[in-house]
Amino acid sequence: MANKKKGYGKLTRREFLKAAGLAAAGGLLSTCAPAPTPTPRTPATPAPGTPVPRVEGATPEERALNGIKALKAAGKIKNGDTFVILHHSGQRNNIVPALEEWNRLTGLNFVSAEEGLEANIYTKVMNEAVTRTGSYDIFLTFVNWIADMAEAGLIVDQTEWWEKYDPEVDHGPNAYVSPIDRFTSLYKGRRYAMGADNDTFSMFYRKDLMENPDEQKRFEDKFGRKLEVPRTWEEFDQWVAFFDRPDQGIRGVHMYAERYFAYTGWAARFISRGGAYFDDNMDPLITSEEGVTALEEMVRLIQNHAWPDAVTGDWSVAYTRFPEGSVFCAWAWPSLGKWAQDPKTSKIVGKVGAMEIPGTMHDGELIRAVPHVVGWSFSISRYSKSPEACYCFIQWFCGPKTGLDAIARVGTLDIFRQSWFNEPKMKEAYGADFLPVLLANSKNAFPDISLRGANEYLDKLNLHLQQAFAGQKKPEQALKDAADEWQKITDRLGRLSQIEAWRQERKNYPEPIQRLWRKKGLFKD
Amino acid sequence: MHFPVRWSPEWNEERWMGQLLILPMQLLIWFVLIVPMLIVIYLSLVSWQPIMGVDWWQAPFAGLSNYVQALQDQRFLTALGRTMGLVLVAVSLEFLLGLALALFFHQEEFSGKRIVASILLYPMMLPWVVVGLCFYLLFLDKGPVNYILISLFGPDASVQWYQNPLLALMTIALADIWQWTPFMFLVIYSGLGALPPEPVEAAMTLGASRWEIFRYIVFPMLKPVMLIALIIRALEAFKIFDLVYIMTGGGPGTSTESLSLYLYRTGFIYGQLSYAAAMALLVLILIALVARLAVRPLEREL
Amino acid sequence: MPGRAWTSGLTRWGVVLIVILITLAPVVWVLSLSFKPPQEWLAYPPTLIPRQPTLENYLVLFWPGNPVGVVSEMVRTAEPVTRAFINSLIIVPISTALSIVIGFLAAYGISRFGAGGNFLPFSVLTTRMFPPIAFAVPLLVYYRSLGLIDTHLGLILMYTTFTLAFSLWMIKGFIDGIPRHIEEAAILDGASRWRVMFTITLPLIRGGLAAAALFVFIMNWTEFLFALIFTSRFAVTLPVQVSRYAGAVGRYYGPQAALGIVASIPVLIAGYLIQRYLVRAFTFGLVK
Repeated sequence: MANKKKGYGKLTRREFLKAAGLAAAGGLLSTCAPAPTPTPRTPATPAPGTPVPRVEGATPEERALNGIKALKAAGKIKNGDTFVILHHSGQRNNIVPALEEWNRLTGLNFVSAEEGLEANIYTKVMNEAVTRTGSYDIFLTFVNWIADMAEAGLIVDQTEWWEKYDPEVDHGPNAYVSPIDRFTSLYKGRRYAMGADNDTFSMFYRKDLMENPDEQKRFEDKFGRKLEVPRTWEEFDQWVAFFDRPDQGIRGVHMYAERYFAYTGWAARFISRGGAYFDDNMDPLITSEEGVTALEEMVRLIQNHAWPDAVTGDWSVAYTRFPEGSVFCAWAWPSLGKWAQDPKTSKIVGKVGAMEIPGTMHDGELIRAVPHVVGWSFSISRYSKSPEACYCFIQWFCGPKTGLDAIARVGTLDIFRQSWFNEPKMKEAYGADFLPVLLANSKNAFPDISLRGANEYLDKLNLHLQQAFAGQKKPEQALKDAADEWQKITDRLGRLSQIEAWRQERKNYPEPIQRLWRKKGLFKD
Repeated sequence: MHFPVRWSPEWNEERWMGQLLILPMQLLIWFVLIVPMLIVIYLSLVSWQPIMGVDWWQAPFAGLSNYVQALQDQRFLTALGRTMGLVLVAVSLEFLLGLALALFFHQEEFSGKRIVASILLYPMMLPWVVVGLCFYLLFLDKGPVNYILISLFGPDASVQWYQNPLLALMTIALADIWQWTPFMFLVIYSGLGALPPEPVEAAMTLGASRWEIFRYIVFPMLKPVMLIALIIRALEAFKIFDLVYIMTGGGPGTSTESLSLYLYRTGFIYGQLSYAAAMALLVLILIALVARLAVRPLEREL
Repeated sequence: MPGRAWTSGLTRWGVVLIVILITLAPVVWVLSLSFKPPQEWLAYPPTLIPRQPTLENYLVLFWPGNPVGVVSEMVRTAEPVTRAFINSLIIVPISTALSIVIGFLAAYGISRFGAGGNFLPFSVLTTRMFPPIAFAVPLLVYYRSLGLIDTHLGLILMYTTFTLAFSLWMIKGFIDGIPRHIEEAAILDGASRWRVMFTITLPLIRGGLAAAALFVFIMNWTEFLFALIFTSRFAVTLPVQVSRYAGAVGRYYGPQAALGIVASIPVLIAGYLIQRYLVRAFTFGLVK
């Protein structure tokens, strides 16, 4: 092969080349670290007592449009300026027609950039936080990513603009359903996002079987009470077991026990029992008796009364199993109801009933806790050419009138303003029977963990929960392992900051649950 | 190989030409890969996540703690072992099948051989995501495979492929084998076609059996080709990601999580870019060592 | 290998048939999926021939604006795949050609002149040993400073560099197989080294170059991870476009299958064109 010995002259030349190469690389490397941005990291809070000028306009949409006019007059934006919205393919149909109208009204050029996989949106968002290209102006992301985005310095604090433009989110006749308005927008007490969705879980069941007199009689004989929609989780478990008929090809229930949403069923029971994810020191409370019992119940339920793909399938399994009639009861996002009533995709049209999620009795009071799972909200990039113009868009899009049209179109965004529940358009889209149930469930909705590192907390929890469902671990052990992992995450991210964030987050929970916590003495305030 | 006398004019000319020939490659690699590699090494020595709110070049120094943590990380080590096992099984089967097919095609004459060979190459040409999707759907609890099993063996024959980690890994391996056996087939087939016929003819006139011809003449001559194919394929298989992501998501729990999938989760979902960098560098060192051992006999052959 | 055939005619055809069946079964499934309407995508019992076959999945790829049926309604206002197609058709052939050319030059230098010593070929191989995931963000930061994110040039540079190890090792193997005395003879006749490389060695390894080119083409054509991270609006390639067919409920298996089939057609064509060079033309070749 090649000569191994090298002449002296050759060696120094090779060394020289290598040194030159590294020097060049070092030079290129230094260009990767741009000068630190002059914008301060912590959000600027206005001096207390400073009057905030209000914008004219009778409706949120009008005020938004007036805002655009003012910005144009001040020379901050001009016709034809391009703004990019990053969103998921599922919202394409909600957003794109609205964009056309907005562009027509304002003369600006808002365009959509979509991603097909939700996880990729997070990747793109985090990459943007690092590279700061300014290629996106508005993000439509999962609600519980807001903390990450805020702490990474990517999104702007919108609180001032809320006061200036008044989107009518938490007050007035068009307000959002509370507490959804809170946890889809607030982080550490400031508005970093505007909610555009309602992903309160909804439960559906086979009405035809419930109304069947033979079934009613059999149920009464067995349990000594009338066949009704269950109100507590205990009654629910019995009810599902009763309708679990594997030999007839119908299982009792489909609740998620898979890799990404296994926590939903457990959390609903855990929170309604008076549990909470963390205490005021950010120590996990999931290993408490409430947590372990909740998980044991869920594991029994899934292992005895559900198809195996509740554990191994993905989230769309609910959307095939329930409409085809192979499960008696299923829960998922509100769209499941639409899917089950659509003759093109469902075999059980007209046989679908919707119910409020069961809860737990506490001294005669029924406390329900309904998981609000993922959900989308708008946030604005700090590196946009005009964050205020972006804000005007999202206020306009989520406005009482524009939002109504947008949400009524088929897409992943669902109904979030209270007044819309009476609109004929919505009744047509969702079914008149379903809307009151959705409203009741929404009022009891609690958020996913929305702290910084939310993805990690949730993923590690799901990992162990799914192992419990698959029978690889005992419930108590699974929760303990998850709690250990959580502690490590909290320590790594900074316990003090997390403590503050959690203290604010638990104030976004529904009032009845906060009262229950106070009664149990979980928190000081 | 023949070499001109050292320091002779033609030696200098050859050396100069050689340097020039490899220059574009070196330029490209240095320009595109070196700087990011330096960043990776830097990241692995600090403790940084974008959500910590500081820029990456201001991150606190962490020394070798990321590496130490990785070496004690059960999930990392099991993913490593699991991936190695998967690669071993899948690539061996791909190799054996590819070899058998290549020999068969080389030996047999039949009309339309070229068309059949083209058909055989098709699995490689589908995008990964589609292959993953396809196999995922095939092995669903209520998918075609179970349907066939039930039709043949009755309703109890339905298997929950994704419930059992071992079975799930098997389906992933199956998808990989299906997709990449054509690669092995093509490389070995090309190699077979290039063999000089004289040694084989000579052996046949001497009365050697087919097996002896294969074992003592063909196989040794094919060794370099097979080694290259194996090394290249194994390196790629080790990074298996798309199939696992689409078919099982690493579940149940982490029981089918491949190394790349864990790195992806750590880096992109948890946002722990420093830790992912350290783990990746560990993997690089490990594979480089193993590959070095594998490549040595190849170098001797050439 | 000359000699008696291994099997009789019938068993031979049997083997061929089985091989074809196994190879094509999943392909046929994807094909059948691409002609199925949404309610049949996950239907049970699964059928090979769709009960209500439809061309919608294909139509929706290129003409999404025309609401024709159920699928069109689901993917309403989607972008046609034409742009992704064109991007892939630009980026992939260029980076493949660059990779093969640069790889050939380097392979010749290493094989004939020992350039880079013992260390270079192996060190180039190490570029394939690093898990790409961990590389993505640093590369992203680097590309940001160069302004190459979401550009065709950026992807071309990336794909060329990533596949260099592949090209180098494959082509080097083929070059090593050509006996030196052929080149020496030409040199003694007065030809320059450059001429020898291009007019003698290059034609002899045509087949090897074609094989390497095909593999590199396939690798680039189906590359997903980096295309996903480095493109958003302008340089989106086909595999990324496939992943965009998701919507209100789950993934749209039908259009994804259709796009998968459509996306593999250019590769099929490339493969067929290269076929002519692949197997014959080996007078000398891979192994001495």
